[in-house]
This record gives sequence, C-alpha cells and structure tokens, in this order.
Amino acid sequence: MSSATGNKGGPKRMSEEELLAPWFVTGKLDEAEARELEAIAKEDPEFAALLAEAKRERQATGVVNEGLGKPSPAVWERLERSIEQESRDGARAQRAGFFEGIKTALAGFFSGLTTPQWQAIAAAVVAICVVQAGAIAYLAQDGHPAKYGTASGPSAGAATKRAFIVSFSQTATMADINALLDGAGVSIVEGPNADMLYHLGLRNENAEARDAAYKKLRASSAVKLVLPEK
Amino acid sequence: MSEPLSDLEVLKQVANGDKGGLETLYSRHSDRTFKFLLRLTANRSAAEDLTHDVFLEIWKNAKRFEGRSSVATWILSIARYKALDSRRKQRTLTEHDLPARAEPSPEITAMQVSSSDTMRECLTALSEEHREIIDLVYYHERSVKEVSEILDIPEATVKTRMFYARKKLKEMLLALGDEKDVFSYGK
Repeated sequence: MSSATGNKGGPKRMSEEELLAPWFVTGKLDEAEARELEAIAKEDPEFAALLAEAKRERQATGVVNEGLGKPSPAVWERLERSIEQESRDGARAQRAGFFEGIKTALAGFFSGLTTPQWQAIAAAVVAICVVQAGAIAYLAQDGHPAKYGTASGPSAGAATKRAFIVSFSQTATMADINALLDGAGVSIVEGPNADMLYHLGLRNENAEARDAAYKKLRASSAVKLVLPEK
Repeated sequence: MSEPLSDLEVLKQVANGDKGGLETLYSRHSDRTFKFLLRLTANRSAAEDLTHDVFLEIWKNAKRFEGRSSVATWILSIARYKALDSRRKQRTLTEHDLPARAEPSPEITAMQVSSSDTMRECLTALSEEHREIIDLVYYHERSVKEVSEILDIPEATVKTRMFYARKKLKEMLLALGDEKDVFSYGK
C-alpha cells in the first residue's frame, strides 16, 4: 500500500487520510472513514505515527484549555439581572403596543365618521342622559326601593362593580349596543375614556352571570374587544 | 432515575421562557464557551462579558434555533460572532491587522512560564486562525461539518486550514529546538 503521508524526502502532499487524522483521534469520523484510516495505520507505520502525533496535539490542547479556568460566578448573576430586565422591557413594550393598537383603531373609527353619524351619536348620548336623569328622579322618590344608582355615586348598586372593559365595533349602532347590553345583563358603569373604552358592570353579580355575559359580549359583532376586569 | 434532558429539549424550555432551562444550558456550556472566547480574546474580562452576551442571546433567540446543527455548535457559532462583532465595534483590531499572536493574558503568560511542555507553549502562541481551528477540533471536538458551520467556511477549507495549523505547530516546535518533541511523535 502506498504511504498515506506522501513521498519520503519529496515535497509534502496532503492526502485525504492525513487531512482527516485530527478527526480520527477525536472520534468524529463516520464509521467507514474511521475503519479505512485504522486499516491504513496498521499497514503504514508512518501514518500510524501521524495519528499518534495528532493524539499528542489533542492532549496538549486539552491541557492548555483546561488551564484557562472558568468564568466567575458574577457572570451568571449578571445574566440573571439582564434576563429580568429583558422580561420587564418586553412586558412594557407589549402593553405599549396593545394600547397603541386600540388608540389607532379608535382614531380610525372616529376619523371615519360622517357628520350625520356624529349627530346620531350626540343624540344617543343626550337620550341616555335624559333617560338616566329620569330614572334617578323616579328612584329618588319616597316609597320606591333603590333598584339602581349612578355608577359614580357613593351608593352605587349591583351594576356598579366593573366586570368588563370593552370597545365597540365601528359599525355597531346604539341600538345594537343597547340590545347587547340588555341581553348580556350588563350596563355601562364608566366611559368612554380617552381611548374610547367602556367599563361594564353586571346587573347580577355572580359567576354564572359573569360567564354568560362574557360569552355574549365576545360573540357579538358589536364588540371589538372585551376583557374581564379583576 | 430519569435520563437528563438533551440540549435540544432544554433549549425548547428556554424558548418557552424557562429560566431554569437557561441555567442548565449555562452549567453545561458556559465553561467551554468561556474558554473558547478567552482563547479568541486573550482577555479574561472581555471573555466573561462575551460569555454573558452569548447566553443572553440564547435566552432571547432560543425560538429561532432551527436544529440544523447541534446546540453546542450553535452556541460556539454565537460566541465566535460575538467576539468578532465586539472587536469590530472596538475598532482596535480588525481581522486583517490581527497580529500573528494576540497579547497573552496574565493567565496564559503564567501558563507559558510554568509549562515545561514546548508543545503547549506553541499551541498558545499560534495565530488566532490556527489556534481557533485547533481548539474547535481537538478541545471542542467538533466535526468537519460543524467547524465549517462555526467558521462559515467550506468543509474542504476546514481540512486544509487544520492541516496548515498543525504544520505551523510543527515548525514552531522545530524553531524552538524541541526536536525531541517533534521526532518522538508516535514512538
């Protein structure tokens, strides 16, 4: 068999076996390649010497590297702090993105309204105020049990506890919204705020009613977003 | 007793935001990553900073791991990228004007002085390119394909670069007059 290590005394050439010798000693060749190199080493003392040389290099490399020590415990401690900071930054960015999205959607909604639509909204708001004023006056009369109270009043009744935060769809009419609120057993207790979000309260404050209302609100096309409040 | 999770399984935990998973990966790979970086930078403080950066990168990008290489290879690739990037940013050295041997750290100098093994001394004094490939093959035990991925060079180049690194090592041993070391190979 010809020498895998090239011509003796002549210019050194690179044989594939010689190129692969380092990976043979680390066991990183596939089975066929390793077998082939083993066979060559058995028959070619020069190649066997080359493999032994690679083994020595590997051992020396191990010694050099092991002598380098380890990173100090401060590296992990710093990493933990960086991860916590990363998590805080991520949560902040997520919140900012969420509210930015709502803002953009609501801005789009209002910029798309025509004058008659604005007039309709104003009329609906006035109607709600009149109805609410009438209801307050009626309930304030002697002899009538307090069924309802204003949301902001000190003696707010069953519907005053915030149960959900919602934003309504751009296409929803006041009639749609009123029908939905009645059907879901909820009423507006606060809002809209600057982001056009409304807080809804349950008329019957129990878990069943809360679940049912949440399902109805989520299923309704009049609602763009609904989130349960704590 | 249950089998320890593979690196890939642990990396999936990290991808799901499990800090315990990162701690496991760190305990398995930080030593080798640090050593690889210390050999590249020859500066303990820089190597520690970069080790931190590498594992923070893993925390942030675990989801992006595509499984085309082993996790250990992926980590070494990140480490190398971080080391080169840091050097580019510092603008103190570029890949072209790197000296044949980087300024040794006190640790390495101490090792050189205390070591009677000329081979070890030469391994430390090799050029960065040669030191890097010798470390990846012999110490980190990466295959030809894995070294090719880490260094981003063709597999054929990996083999020839390793060949020339070993050749240089032999020349250095000869120049230092350690003929015994050179000619006693395999005996």
